[in-house]
Amino acid sequence: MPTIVQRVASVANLNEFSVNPNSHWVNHKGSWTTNIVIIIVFRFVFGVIPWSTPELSWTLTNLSYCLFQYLMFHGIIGTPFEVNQGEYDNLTLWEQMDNGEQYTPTKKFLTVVPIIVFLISTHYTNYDVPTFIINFTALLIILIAKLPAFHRVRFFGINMGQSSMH
Amino acid sequence: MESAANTPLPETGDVSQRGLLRTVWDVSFRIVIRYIKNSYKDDPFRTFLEVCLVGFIIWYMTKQKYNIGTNEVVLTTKEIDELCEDWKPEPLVPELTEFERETLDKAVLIDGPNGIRVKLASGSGKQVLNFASYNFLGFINSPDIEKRAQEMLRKYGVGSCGPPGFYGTLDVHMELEKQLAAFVGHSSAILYSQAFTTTLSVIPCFSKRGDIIVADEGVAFSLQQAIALSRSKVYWYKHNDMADLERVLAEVNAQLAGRKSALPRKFIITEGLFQNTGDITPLDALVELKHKYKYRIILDESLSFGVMGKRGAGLTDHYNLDPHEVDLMIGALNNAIGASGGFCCADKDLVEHQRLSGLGYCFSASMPGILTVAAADALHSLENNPDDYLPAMRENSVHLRTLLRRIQGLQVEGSNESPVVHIRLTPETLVRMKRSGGAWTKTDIDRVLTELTDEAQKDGVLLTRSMFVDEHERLMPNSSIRICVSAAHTKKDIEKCAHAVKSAVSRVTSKKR
Repeated sequence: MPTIVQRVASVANLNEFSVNPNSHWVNHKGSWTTNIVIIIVFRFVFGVIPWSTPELSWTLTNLSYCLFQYLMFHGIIGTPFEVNQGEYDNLTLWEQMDNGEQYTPTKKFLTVVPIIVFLISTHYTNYDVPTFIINFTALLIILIAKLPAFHRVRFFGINMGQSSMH
Repeated sequence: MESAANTPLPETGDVSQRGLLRTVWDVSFRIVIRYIKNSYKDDPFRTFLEVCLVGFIIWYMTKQKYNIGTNEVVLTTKEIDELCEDWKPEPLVPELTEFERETLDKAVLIDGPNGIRVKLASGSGKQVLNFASYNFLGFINSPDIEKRAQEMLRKYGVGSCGPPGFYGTLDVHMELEKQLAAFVGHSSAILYSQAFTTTLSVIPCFSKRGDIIVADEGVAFSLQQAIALSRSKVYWYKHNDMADLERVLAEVNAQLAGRKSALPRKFIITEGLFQNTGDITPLDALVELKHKYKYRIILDESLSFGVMGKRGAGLTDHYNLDPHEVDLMIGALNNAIGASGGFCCADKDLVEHQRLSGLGYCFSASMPGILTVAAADALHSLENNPDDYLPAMRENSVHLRTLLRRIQGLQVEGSNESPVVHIRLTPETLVRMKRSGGAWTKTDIDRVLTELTDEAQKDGVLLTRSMFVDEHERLMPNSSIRICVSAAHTKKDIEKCAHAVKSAVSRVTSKKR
C-alpha cells in the first residue's frame, strides 16, 4: 500500500544546507582522535605523579574527561559569532551538533567513549565504594545531559538563555 | 582433553579445524569466566551497574538517527483520496466583495500633473482642490524644481540601473546624504531608493532574533511590517501613553536582570507624526525614559521630516533636542519634500553597517538622479527660507482644525500643529443616523465616509478616506477621512474645504437610511 509521509518542517529541516561553524568541527575524524589522545594524555600525566595509585590516577582521568566534556558540550551556550540571526544563542554545543539530530555517529561516539573509559578504569583498579560513587556520578551527569529526552530541557536554572523569558 | 584426542587425526582438516574453533572458544570462555570472577569483587550491585552501562551502549548504538520536532503523519490511500476530493482550488485572485468593487470603481483619476489644483479625469473633468496628497510644503508642482529636474534628466538619464554598491552611486547621492545629515544635525545619513522599504530595511538590520523591541500600538503599516520582519521579541505600549511605556520598559528590564546570557539590543520604536492619527510623539519624555532604562530610539519621521520644528528638521528640532538623542532617525523624501525615497540619519558606524547589511540598500537600485536632485533642491529651498513654507502650513493646519471643530457631529483628531487631520463622525451622530437601530459595521462606516468624500468632491474639494489592508493591520485603526493641509493652500482654499466638509456632513447625516 502506498503511503505518503507528510513532514512538518522543523528548524533542523530548514537548515539542512546551512552549516553552523561552531559545531561543525565536532564531526571531523580528527576531533574523534583528539578525544582518545586527550584521555591517553590525562592517564599518562596522572600516572606519573609520584606515589599515585592506579585508583587515584584513573579517577582523576575519569573526572577530568567528564569535566572536559561537560564544559565543551553542555556548559557553554551560544556561538562566539553570529549564525543565522542568533538562532543558536540559547543552545549548548551538544544541542547545536548536527542541527539537533539525535543518534548521529558523532553523538554515539561521544556518548560511548566516557562509558568505556569508566569500564576500563573499573577493570584496572580496585575502587572502594566512595571512589566508585564519585566516578559513577560524574559519568551519570554527562550521560543524562546527552539523552534525547533532555534535548533543550533545562533544570536548576542551568544554561537559561533568553528563550525561557516571558 | 578433546583437542588432545583430535591430534592423531591431522589428515582430516575439517575435524581439526572444528577442534581449533573449539579450543579457541574454550580458552576465551575460560578467560571471560576468569575475568568476571576477578572483577566481581564480591559486589553484585557494582557488577549490575556495569552490565547496565554495557546494555546502555548496545541500546544507544543500535538506535536510528532522527530529528526531534518532526511529526510524521502517515496517510492511508483512502485518506489521500478523501483529501483530494475535498480539495477545492482557490482562485488566484480572490473574488472582490461588493464594497471593494465600489471602492475600485470610485478610484480617483487625475488628469495631468499632481498638485494643489488638479483636473479629474473622471466626470466632467473639472478642477478640484487637492487635500488628499502628502504635499505639506507644496513642492510637488514647484516650477523651479521641475525645470532643474528636466536639466538633470539630460545629464543622468532616468534610472541609476544598479544598487549603490554596484555602480549605482551617483555624485548627487553622496551630496544629498551630506546635505541631509547637515540639515538634521546628525553625524551621517544613508539614502534609500524607496520610502516604504527604508523602515523595512533599517529595523531588521539592527534588531535581530532575541533582541527586544518596545513599540507604540498606533504605528503605521510599514513599521508593523518591519517589526515583524526583525523576528525580535516585541512588546507593545498604548498609543502615546508614556506611563504605559515606562511600565513596559521596567517590566522588560526586570525580566532581563540576572540573566547570564549576553544582553540583547533594546529598542523603542515609534513614529514622529502618526500617519493613522495625526498625533505627535512626546519625544522629550521618550528621551528621558530612554536614558533611564537604557534603550535606543528608532524614530520614523516619514511624515514629520520637513514638517515639524522651526527649521522643519523633524521632531528633535520641534522639541529643541540634540538630534543624536534619536539613535536611528528614519525619514522620507516622498512626502513633504515631494521627491522619492527615504533616508536614515545615525552615527557613522550605524550608517556604515547599513551600507553592508541593509537589505534595501544592498539589493535595490539606487534613486534616479533626477529625483535625487529634486529632493536636494527642495531641501535647499526649505533650508534657506523655512519661513516661506512652515508658518503658512501651520497657520493653515490650525485654521482648518478650528473651522472643522465647529461642525456639528464631527470629530477632529491629532495635534494642533500637525498638517494631517483625521476626521470622523461622532458615535452619537452615527447612532442618530441609523433609524432602524442595529450596530454599525466597519464597512457601513466606510461607506458613509465614502459618501462624504463624494459630496465634497461635488463641491470641488478632493478628499480621501484613509485606507488599510485590513487583514494585515495589527490593530485596526478607526475609519476616518484624512485631510492633508499644504503650505500652498490659501486661506480661501482652507475655508472652501471646511465649508465643503460642513455641507457634505449635513447632507449625508440628514439622509434617510
